[in-house]
Parts: sequence; structure tokens; C-alpha cells
Amino acid sequence: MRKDLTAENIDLLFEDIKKISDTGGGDITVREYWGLRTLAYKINKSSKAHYVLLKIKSDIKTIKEIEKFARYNEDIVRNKIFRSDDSTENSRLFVSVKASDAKGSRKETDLDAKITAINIAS
Amino acid sequence: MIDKKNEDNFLRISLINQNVRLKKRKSCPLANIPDEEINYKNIDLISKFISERGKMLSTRVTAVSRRKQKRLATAIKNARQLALLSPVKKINVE
Repeated sequence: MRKDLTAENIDLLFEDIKKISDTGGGDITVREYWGLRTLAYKINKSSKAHYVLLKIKSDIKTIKEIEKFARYNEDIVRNKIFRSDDSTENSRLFVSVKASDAKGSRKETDLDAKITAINIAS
Repeated sequence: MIDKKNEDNFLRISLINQNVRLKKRKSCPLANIPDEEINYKNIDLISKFISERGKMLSTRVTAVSRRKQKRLATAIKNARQLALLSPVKKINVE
């Protein structure tokens, strides 16, 4: 899920989503803010957007409710819902939990070395 | 007579085999990366398997195993929808 051109309103938007999932008996296990990233192509005439990833454990009804919220909210440019595993590890784009304290660098993992070792001659 | 025939066969086979070169099969470059790590979030991993024009590279080029190529394909498609990868060109990550 991601948002466009909003400052600390992102955290408020998270609260809105949390409220929806709470009323449906959902549980938010992972919360990630990926920072203001440059989009690979323009969406709604803007070339940058905030990225937010949430892992929510709940039934389909509440997920549908959240999707509806995300679709009709004008601050959310695009949303995509995946069926996910139970792991609570941070993804490799992780910057911070809350959007308001986004800074610092990413930790190096052993996967990084593995990825840089891959070399495809084309 | 039988010996002569066998010799002939042997000659013919060896002549044919001179033109045949055995190609060594490349091993899967993703062999030591777990399946779950091949997803839309690992853009720098995925972007190694797209061409300069943003197209997916085929298994024939990269020698990725069939199962992992399947995961790669969905990962690339998802990343494109989320504007993490461009559908028309390769972009440098970070």
C-alpha cells in the first residue's frame, strides 16, 4: 500500500486502517514504511510516492473492507493485496515503522552478498 | 565378415561424433536463494533478471530453474504494478 505527497498524515492513515481491522477482529503483525520513493513511471501525474507495507491477519471480509477504504481514499495512489506468509521479518526496503521517524540506513544481510554474486552475462 | 561390419559401424559412429560437441549445462544462479526471497520486495534481485528494455529474461538465457522462474515472473509482474520496476526500461535501484 502506498500514499502520495502527504507528510505525517501517513501515520493518521495507518490509524484509520487499524480501526477498520480492529472492528473486523483483524491483527496487524507487520508495519513498514519504505520512505518517499521515486516511481518507475508516473501515476496520476506524480513521480514520487510514499510506500507503506502492512501485514494483516484477518478474514476476507475485513480485508475487502480495507481494500475498499484504500480505493476510495484520495491519498492512497495505489494498493495491492497479497496472500502472505507468517514471517515477521523486515523486508529489504524497510526504512522505519512510523513515517514520522524515517531515517537511518538499512542493515546489510547475507542475502545482499548472494545477490551481488549473481552475474548474468547477456 | 561380422568383424568387418562392426568395424564399419564403429568408424561411422566415430565420424559422426566428431561433429557433436557436448554443451555443459549452466546451473541455476538462484540455487542458494530460498524461494520466499524471490518476491516483489527484493527489487535489486529481480532487476538482475530483466533486459535493458525491461523485459524478463528467458530461462534459456539465465538457466534459472523452472520453479524459480515461475516465482520470478510473478514477482516482476507485481513489482511493475507497484511502480517499483519500469515496464519499458531497466532502472538502477538506489
